[in-house]
Amino acid sequence: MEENKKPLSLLEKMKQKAREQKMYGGEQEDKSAGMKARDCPNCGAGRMQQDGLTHCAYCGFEFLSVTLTDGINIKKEDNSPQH
Amino acid sequence: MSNPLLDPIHGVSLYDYATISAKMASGISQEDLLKALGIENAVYEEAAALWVTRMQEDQTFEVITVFGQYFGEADNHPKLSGLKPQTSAEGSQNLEKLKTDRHFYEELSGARIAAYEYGYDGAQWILDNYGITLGDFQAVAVHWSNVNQAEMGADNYEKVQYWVNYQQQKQAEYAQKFAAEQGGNIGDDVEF
Amino acid sequence: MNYNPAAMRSEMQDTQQRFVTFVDKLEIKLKEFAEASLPELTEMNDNDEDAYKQTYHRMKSAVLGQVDSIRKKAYDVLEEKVMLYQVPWEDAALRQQFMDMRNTCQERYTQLEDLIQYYREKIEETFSEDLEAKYQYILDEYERIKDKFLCTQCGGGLTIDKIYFTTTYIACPFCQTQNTFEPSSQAKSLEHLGRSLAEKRTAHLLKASHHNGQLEEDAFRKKHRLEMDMAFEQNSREKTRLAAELANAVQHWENTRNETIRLYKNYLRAMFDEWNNINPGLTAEHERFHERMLQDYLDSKKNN
Repeated sequence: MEENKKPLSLLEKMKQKAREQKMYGGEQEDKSAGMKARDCPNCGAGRMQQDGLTHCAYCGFEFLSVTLTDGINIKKEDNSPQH
Repeated sequence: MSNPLLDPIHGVSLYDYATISAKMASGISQEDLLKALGIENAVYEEAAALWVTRMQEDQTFEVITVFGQYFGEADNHPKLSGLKPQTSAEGSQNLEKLKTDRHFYEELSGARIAAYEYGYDGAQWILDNYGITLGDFQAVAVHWSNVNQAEMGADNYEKVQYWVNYQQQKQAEYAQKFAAEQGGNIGDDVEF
Repeated sequence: MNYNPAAMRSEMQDTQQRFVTFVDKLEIKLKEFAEASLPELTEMNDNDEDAYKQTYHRMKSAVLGQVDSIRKKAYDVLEEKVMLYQVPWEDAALRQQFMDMRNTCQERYTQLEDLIQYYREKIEETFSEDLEAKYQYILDEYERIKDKFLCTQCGGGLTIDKIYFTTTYIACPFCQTQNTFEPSSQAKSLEHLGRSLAEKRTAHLLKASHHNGQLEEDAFRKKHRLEMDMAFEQNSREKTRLAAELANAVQHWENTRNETIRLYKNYLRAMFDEWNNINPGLTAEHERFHERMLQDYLDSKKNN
């Protein structure tokens, strides 16, 4: 009888431990899709498609400090014109 | 320098990408990292996805090798080195020791393997007990892996074997400790 | 070396018997534990709400750890009591008995390892995930949200024109404001999920190539055996007959080999077609990965 109890009680303990442990980095929560926009934090102007993504067309504020290359959906043409 | 697979994507270099990966594994938020780099999520997520495809198409393994080296140098990144995880004083001390004391490094590596075998999340176990994040641990692992490569390159097999044995011995010691905590192993009643 | 042959004989006999009994008992423990853990793991796999099934994975890792503790226990004793047993090498009878003991115990240990391997596979098989359902979720979600968003600036309707798996900019068709669209966590996993799903959908084609690979190996062995026979054959008539047989065998091997390659190419193409179909956004990149995998495969075929 004693013989048979050991693996089961050990299993129970293992299960409990597996449940109690926290995962490194915390639980990952599923996020749903969302939409937002970023106005220029400097002058408040909206960000217009024809002005490119990298700089504010009005005050020159730098939205992105990089030069865009041809990626997946973002392309070279999305760089703001030189100013 | 001529390998076009190493060219930046949207201005995000392989060093940027490796550093962000390492820092995120240390618990620093993607938001803070991207802000320091001056880019937005949309740009980073494209770059990250494309760095993965670069690794996939690279038959020479150069991209992934260089990525690993940069991962180990994340703390020297010109724009991102200032972003450090919040660690205890003890954690910082342990991290320093991990970098300089190979016995300590091999001991924790063995302990981590044993931890997984006893149902712990090994990365979390190291963080809980030594205050060292996964990102920092992996970065130090790159360093010791280079040392190991150098020893193998110099045919110093005795040394290589010494460290393998040392890690195994430590793994066994920690396994014993974890086993005791859960009330033993399934074969404990069986005597030779 | 001073020794008592009779005592050593009985000691070795005793060790051998004890080792076999010891492994018998370990096997009982192993079976008991593994059989009890399999339904538990299946239950945990099915009921783990978390997408990464962390609880299940920790449990599986611990169960495998226990299974391996049995192997380690047996191995330590095998090494200490059997392999490192000292016999006077000049005593032929004792030496023979030592080798018999070693073989018997080693064989018993190998049987235990086989059983452990069997349970390892059973334990791994408790893992399952419904990739089709995860993909379907992304498709359904897209249908649900594609016309749901409004421009944050002017309130005009925005259309999500395809499934995005990275955050992206969507310009308002009315006021031209750049809106930032962030896909759900599920949609962000599309590229990775796509590969796993494509591999799953085409697994039967890969299996066909592997199966043919077995036939290729058989054909290679036959060819090799005939080459050996030829090399040692003295009789010239027999040699001529063997040469003809060998020519056939070589032809057969080459045909089988080409078929294995054809089947693998077929698998790879189908797998990447599926992947492209699931995530067309990275088709060009996938194609370069396809080239690389094909090249790796052909290189590996060149070397054997």
